[in-house]
Amino acid sequence: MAVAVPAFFLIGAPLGYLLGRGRGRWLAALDFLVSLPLVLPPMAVGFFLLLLLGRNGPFGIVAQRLFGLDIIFGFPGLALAAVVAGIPLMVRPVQAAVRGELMRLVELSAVLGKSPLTTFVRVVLPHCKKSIAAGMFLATGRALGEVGVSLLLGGDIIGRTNTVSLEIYNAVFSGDFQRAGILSGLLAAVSLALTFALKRTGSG
Amino acid sequence: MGLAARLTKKLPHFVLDVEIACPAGEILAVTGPSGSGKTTLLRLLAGLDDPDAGRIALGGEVWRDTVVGARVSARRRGVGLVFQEYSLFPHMTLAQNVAYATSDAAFAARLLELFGIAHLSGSRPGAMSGGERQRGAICQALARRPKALLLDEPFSALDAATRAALRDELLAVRERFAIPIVHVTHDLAEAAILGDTVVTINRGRIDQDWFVRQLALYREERDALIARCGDGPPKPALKEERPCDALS
Repeated sequence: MAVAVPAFFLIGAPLGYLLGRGRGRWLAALDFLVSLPLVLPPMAVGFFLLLLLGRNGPFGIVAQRLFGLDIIFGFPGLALAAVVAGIPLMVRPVQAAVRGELMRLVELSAVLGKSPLTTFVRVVLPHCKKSIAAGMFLATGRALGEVGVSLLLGGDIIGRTNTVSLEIYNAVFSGDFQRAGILSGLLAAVSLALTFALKRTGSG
Repeated sequence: MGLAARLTKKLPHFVLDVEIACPAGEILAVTGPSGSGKTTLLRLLAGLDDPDAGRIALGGEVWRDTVVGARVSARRRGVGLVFQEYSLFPHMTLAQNVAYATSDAAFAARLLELFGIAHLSGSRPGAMSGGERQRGAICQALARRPKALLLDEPFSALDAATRAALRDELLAVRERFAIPIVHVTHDLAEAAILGDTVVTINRGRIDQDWFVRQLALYREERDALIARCGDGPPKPALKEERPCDALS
């Protein structure tokens, strides 16, 4: 979550804005790609990512050669799984907030001589703050409960890559229902807190 | 420095093909029916849209020339632009809106004084009236000391009294800033009052006869109204009063 939550904001907010305001074939393809984790079964997403990022996958080889980094079965794989699972839910609310009124304000900012970055920081982000907050809550909730992609990219290695959701599975599998109950209660409490925060954001 | 443009742009239903000129210190009123290409013309001048062919220049400074491929972005044209709506950033106070356009705080404060809205400095646009918002938008547009001022139906959502007051203020801006002002409006009276020159666009072409035809129509409507209401506004037809109504 320490990586995923900032990534939701740093990647998801600009991506949502880009997809919301842009037109064209490439952006349509990117839009489709961002939607895939929502429509595909998580196990299938995890499997495809495993093929791409594994030690023999095209991106895995590049990461290993350039940075000496093994993406799968380690922290990078887990972080990536959380980001992939949550990012569509971060992008969609921001994308929906990019409407005529905001585009008019973006144009106004350009005419006033401001750079695209200044416009994004001082006009787009404040204007979309409710959508961004909603996206952050939804994406964090989704990433917390993620199992399929985490299992395939992280490997569920005890003490190294087992997330809370995977630990619940491990506990049930080993018959430790008390531990599974406590962890499930903890996840449910966090999810309820996020839902409450989401409702407050919507009405605030 | 005057603003001059000769532009062609294909629009969904017709081709916008116009040539305009607005000397410094004058107002060019651009009028015409809805959907005739007025706003597109303004967007082309501001650099928010790109013409298929043509040239835009402010004095010797070429903003766009499709023949030689010259292009100055909207950011660098240095124009002030006021839309009918959404001309102020709703999440900023009025003072922040004007300060967004300039680093000269004293000038920003002077503009707010000049337009009589300094007392609203701490207010957000949502808490201001339509007239106050448009005054604020003009302040914001002028704050960066624009080389030209472009106005897209800025007064059309306002009541008659506020519109009249803002027209006077715009005439004062013309005197004080001595820059070319292009004012798009569908209001013929406003075009006639404000414009040093009035250009009429109809289906993408300059059509000065349209203005004359509309004025004639306007005159007929006015005469008919005076004939009908010469003794004051028509009275509403009253229901026949029955004795029992007084008791109910």
